[in-house]
Amino acid sequence: MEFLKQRGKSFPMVAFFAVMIILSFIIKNGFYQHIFILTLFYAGMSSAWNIVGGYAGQLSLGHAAYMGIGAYTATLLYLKMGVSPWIGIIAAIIIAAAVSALISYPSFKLHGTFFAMSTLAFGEVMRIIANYWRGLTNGSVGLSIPFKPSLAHLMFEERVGYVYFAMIFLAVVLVISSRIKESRAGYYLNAIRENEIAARSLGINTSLYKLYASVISASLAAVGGVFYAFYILYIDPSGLMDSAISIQFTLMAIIGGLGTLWGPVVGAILIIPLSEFMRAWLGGVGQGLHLVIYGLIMVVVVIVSPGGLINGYKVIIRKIKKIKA
Amino acid sequence: MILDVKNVSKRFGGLWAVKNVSFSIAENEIIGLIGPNGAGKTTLFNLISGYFPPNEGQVLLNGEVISNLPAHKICQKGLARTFQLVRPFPDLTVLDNVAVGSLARYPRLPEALKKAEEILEFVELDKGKKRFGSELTIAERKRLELARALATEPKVLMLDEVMAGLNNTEVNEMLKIIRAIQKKNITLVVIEHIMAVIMSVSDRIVVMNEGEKIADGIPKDVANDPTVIKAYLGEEELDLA
Repeated sequence: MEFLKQRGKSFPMVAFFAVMIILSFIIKNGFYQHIFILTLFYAGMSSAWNIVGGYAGQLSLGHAAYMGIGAYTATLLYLKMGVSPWIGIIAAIIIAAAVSALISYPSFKLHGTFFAMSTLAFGEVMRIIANYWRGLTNGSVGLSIPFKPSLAHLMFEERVGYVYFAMIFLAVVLVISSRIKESRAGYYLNAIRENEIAARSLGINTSLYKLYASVISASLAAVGGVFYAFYILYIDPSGLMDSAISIQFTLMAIIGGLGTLWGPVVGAILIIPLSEFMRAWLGGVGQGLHLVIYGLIMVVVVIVSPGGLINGYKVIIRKIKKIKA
Repeated sequence: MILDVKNVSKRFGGLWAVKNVSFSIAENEIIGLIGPNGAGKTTLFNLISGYFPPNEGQVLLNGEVISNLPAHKICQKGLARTFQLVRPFPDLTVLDNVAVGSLARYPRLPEALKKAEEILEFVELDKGKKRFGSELTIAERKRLELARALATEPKVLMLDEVMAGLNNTEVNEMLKIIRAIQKKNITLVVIEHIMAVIMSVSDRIVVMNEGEKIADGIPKDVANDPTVIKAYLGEEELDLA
């Protein structure tokens, strides 16, 4: 029975990735493939953010910095020393984890809005450092990666290669995320989010668990950064580490359902295709019009289902069950 | 002695909220902690449970100094508390609320959930355990708070006004639970305002006033102690006036 239960829990995950694989065969158009890749990528990034922002309730607005750290680490290692981006991923994880541990410890003493502000400042400082450290990062000119397709270089002749890589990235993030959720750490992070003082009185080392969430979240975001660099093949500080990108990770999770496993994925599936289509269709007419749509969706979700789309769905299911019973 | 409070003091700015308070509790006793509003009862709880350290003095649990430890360590050592203003986790279910407590002793989630079920049955909150913390009535919240603290399997459990705001039936149910907790070999320290209740349930009573301990003894003696009566009712002259 226990075994069947476990199976039942992983069913949505298996079903989701089955659909994604089928879609990867159906979608052949380059533009649609690009949207597909971005959706998977953002779903992964937002899910990574969700570990610290949703589970632990620590509203970080500086996650683009970790993505930037990952992208720059792997790109520089590749360009300057010819190191394979696969090893670059490991280096990116180590550096992002170290930076997040260093930053988190003092900033976790701050609460609520003040914590959010400190992470926003951190993100901006990282972007400015990347801009001014020209000797290393080439400043605002950015770095281009020459296209040499091979698996070892994490570059693919066919765009579908990137689809699969993004899918694997999302799968890794979701598996880690669900493992955390269904464990002591997940329960403890939720308790910290709900009431830190009560959490401490129940034997939870709140600083340690927040640090743990932050390090895992930052490491996964850095892996996403490596993928982004080797997909776009060009990185620059403002395109990669802008605070608007950090906020996007946050908004997707909020729209989909903060602190839920599938919320960020739902948020990304809704937002990314919509904003990409808007950008393409409205073109020059609507510079920034997709942001207006974005805002509208936010307002509607917050009014109709304050807990995000996933929770709205749960509420409806619960009501139906009540009517039936 | 399972809990020794030795000359603890706590100052907020120029005010001594707790001043040179000492008392000891033997295993399996129920101690009532009473005193008028602002006497320093909750501050004393906060000191003992490690919410903040005392300015002076020491607290010993089973002979071990705990007054320099953070709150989570003190809980792990076996001292748990409830809060006067209940702090349930509103977006977690009743079961998950209690499971957070039992995870302190049972790191694996399935075991912790099983233990949480047992505790909920014990406090008779097992019906509707899938409800969220925010959906409970005040009486249920108090009971949830108690269940959660109990789930950490403490040796000493400190209850801060778990009966405040309850009606008579609910108070009697809570008393039944408190007596059942004592049977589990758990030492209890209870802050309570309802005199009849605290007199009937406590083995011993400690009275505080303006941060200081003014009496310590069996309920009957404390009730007749002139300093206690003075602290509660004021000077005799005032009564006559």
